[in-house]
Amino acid sequence: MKNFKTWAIALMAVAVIASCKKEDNTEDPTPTPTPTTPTTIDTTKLVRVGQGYITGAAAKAVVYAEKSLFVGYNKLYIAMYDSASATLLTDGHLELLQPMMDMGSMQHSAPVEFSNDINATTKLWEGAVVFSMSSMGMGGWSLNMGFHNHKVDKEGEGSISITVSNPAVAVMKSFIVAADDSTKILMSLLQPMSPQIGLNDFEITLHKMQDMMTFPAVNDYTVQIEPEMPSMGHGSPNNVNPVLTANGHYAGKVNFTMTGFWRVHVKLYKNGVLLDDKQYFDITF
Amino acid sequence: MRTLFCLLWIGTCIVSVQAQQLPPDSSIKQVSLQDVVIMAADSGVSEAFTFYRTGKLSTTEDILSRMEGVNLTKRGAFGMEPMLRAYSGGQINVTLNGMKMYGACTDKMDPITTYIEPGNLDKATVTQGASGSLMGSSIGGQLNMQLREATFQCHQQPIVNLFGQYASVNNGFNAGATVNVNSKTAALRFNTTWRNANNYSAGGGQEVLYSGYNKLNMFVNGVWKLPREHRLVVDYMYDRGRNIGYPALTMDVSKAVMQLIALTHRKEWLHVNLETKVYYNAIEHYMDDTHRPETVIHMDMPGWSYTTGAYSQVGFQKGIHQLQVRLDAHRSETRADMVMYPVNEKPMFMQTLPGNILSNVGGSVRYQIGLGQRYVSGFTYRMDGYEQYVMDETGILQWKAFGYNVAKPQHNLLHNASAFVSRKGKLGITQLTAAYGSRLPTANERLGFYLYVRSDGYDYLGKNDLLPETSTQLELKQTFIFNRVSMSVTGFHHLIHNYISAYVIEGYSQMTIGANGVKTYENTTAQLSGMEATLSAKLPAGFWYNANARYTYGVIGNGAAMQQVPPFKWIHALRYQFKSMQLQLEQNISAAQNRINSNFGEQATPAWSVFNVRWAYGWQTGASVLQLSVGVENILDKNYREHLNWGGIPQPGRNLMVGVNYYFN
Repeated sequence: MKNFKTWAIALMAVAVIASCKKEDNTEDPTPTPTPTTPTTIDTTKLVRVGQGYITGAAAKAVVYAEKSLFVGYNKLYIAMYDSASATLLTDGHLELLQPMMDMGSMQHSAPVEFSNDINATTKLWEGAVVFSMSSMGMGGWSLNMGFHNHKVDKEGEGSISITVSNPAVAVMKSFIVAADDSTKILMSLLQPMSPQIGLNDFEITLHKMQDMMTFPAVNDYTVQIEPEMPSMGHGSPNNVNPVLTANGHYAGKVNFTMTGFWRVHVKLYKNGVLLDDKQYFDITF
Repeated sequence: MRTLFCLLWIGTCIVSVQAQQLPPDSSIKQVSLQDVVIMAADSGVSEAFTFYRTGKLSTTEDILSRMEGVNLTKRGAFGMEPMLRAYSGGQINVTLNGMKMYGACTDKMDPITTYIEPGNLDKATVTQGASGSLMGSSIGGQLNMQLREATFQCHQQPIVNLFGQYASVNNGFNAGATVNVNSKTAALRFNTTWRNANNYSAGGGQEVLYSGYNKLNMFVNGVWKLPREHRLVVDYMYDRGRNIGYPALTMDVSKAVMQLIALTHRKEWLHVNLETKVYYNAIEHYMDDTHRPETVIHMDMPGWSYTTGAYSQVGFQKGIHQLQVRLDAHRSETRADMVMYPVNEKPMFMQTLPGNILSNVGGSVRYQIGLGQRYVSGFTYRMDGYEQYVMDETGILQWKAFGYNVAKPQHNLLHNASAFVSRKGKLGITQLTAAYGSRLPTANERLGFYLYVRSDGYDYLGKNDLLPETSTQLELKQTFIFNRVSMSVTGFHHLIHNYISAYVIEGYSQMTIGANGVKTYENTTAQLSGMEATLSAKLPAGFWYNANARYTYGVIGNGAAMQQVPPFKWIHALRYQFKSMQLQLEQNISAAQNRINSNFGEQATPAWSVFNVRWAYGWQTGASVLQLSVGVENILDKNYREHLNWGGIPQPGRNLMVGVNYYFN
């Protein structure tokens, strides 16, 4: 009986995966690459958010994300195809990933992280962008990309226009820290994205705005968190304050003792001095 | 008149040799406490308990409260929790017909005694201390409630009993009916009782809010006589409570349903009797705060309890030897949730008692031997194997955040043993008992997740690695028997090792709005000592005097007073009996309790004394008996409270009760 159940579940899973794949592929206007290895990528859990040519590199980039782009920290997955044959490119370097907001009178960028090298397993280049505002009304977001196509040994740049919307609940806060030279800080919530009862991974990133185009990671802050249920006025024990892992990422644990509406207060310190204790993220599940 | 008595006895289904010497079941508030047997290690039935009689219209708790060494913790007008001396909850082993049953309420609103109507209670057997662990590991003793069975009448006429009662203190109406029919080989008994009460008034007229209740109970029992002295017994009970108020708590019970079914086989030989039972009981308990205006966020706290079990016990008696062997097993599944509904927000959910399974296999032996003319000696031993684990994913995750893997089964092996020797002297019997007992931490103590205790205003977090409580005990009882007077004095001293006690965890945020903080449990030590005394005197001219007194002194490891320890109490009554008329005057006296545990939120309780009077009269016409009873409790309308009452809620004020009983046979 148990065996049967396992098999049934496995079969169903396969069916679901297969059907998703099919849907994604039919939706994707990119010509299906001819099946020469390695030519396929798994995009079943991803959403295509934009595509465009990398002029000069004989390549076409297709950008995926885990969900539609939103104001906050978005992981991006980039597939490169030969612009003529549409075969998947796996040999090359992502030279540039730069988000750009064009507001007509002015332009600005946003915090970004990316790797030059391809992820050998997924055949995708990976990066992330902290979008600081939505595309609505104010102008448009685009992603500037530079790519060195080793296959043909050509380099080039392209710009892909994308759409960023506001999430229902804010997962990015930008604020001025007066106690730290009035720096503008962008703080984004990465985890938990699927919260559950008990201990959850809690991860944020901190970036500061150096100028309109430069948003370096902040690696010298200390972070304290305190979850609270505002309607009940209580917190929870056994939380682990996030500590710096790398590149402005701070990871810890948050304990949700029950479901419902939680507010996780975040306090920022630098060299033992409290910088800001007004920030929080709301998490409801 | 003899016929009248006879009918009365049949009507109330009291089967006892001693009953013949007793006046009929009469006044409202008192059914024969000969039903209520205190069993000492020598199995002797104390005569003091043949005195009190509580009407079938009172609750089981009324009967229990009159028993030696039995106290009740009150959280409302209903659902009082029995305590043996100062032991309660998991420290005592409360069974129903030998069946295990776990209340489904994490706030202990439904101790299993609440599901038993006195009309269905044949007898309640109490064994104090660790020597009372034959049916399950325990340090505080055992309370077994035996349900009535259908009786076989030689004339095979149905017995019908209708009863009704009114109480002024809470505009309470109780009514019920019992029918007993039988053939030569089969008998069937059906009882139903309905109760409805509004808020009661304390002395001086102060209304105690949220103290009303509504309850319906049905009990069917069938007995089949099979060839060769085999007997088959089937029990089914349905109990449904609605809108049961708990003034000492922040919530009430909107609905509670208990069902039990049991199949019993009995066989008797000349020296041997055998009983085997399989049973199942289920409780669904829905607690909410819908009726409380002070509620900030509406909250539901449903609880569930399902227990399946079986036991087999054999008794052997021949000459100077008495032996009883018992094997039993049960598996219990309990769970309690909390859901809060804030306005315009997602509901908040957690498992206050993560769904868990407790399995138990145990066995016990009791042996007693007469040594010459004057001495009796014996011993008891019980061993229990337990396994407990959480099977609910939510509960597992909740506890994982506290560093406990509650999904991993936890095993415990517990031992209980006792030995006694008694000597018959010229004036009476002296008995010395030494005992060692142990008990498993309760599911609440192990797994409870932010359970709010109104008494001290703290949220309680369980501690999964608590050690079982153990206790070594010494008890000395002297019984005096004179011509018309019998007396007994018992003294006891108990050392409790790994006593489970609560302390405040600093820096923890409470979960309940307005709570003082969070507590958890630790193992410490404690000592409990005390005495009980009884006196029963049959005076000339139809007078009978009965009294019992008790005192318990408890101290925990850090020198503080143990919480929930009753003060000195003295309950006595004088009865006058003339033909089928009975008049009884009672006085209940309690000393002040100033030895309190303020950590548990206890407050000192002043001394008090209340008077009750009861009158009853019976008429007989043909095969019918009509009985009228009138009683006034708390005659002086005193505003007082029992020390064990949570939240300082007062006892009922003056209460006029009128009851009618009709028997037809």
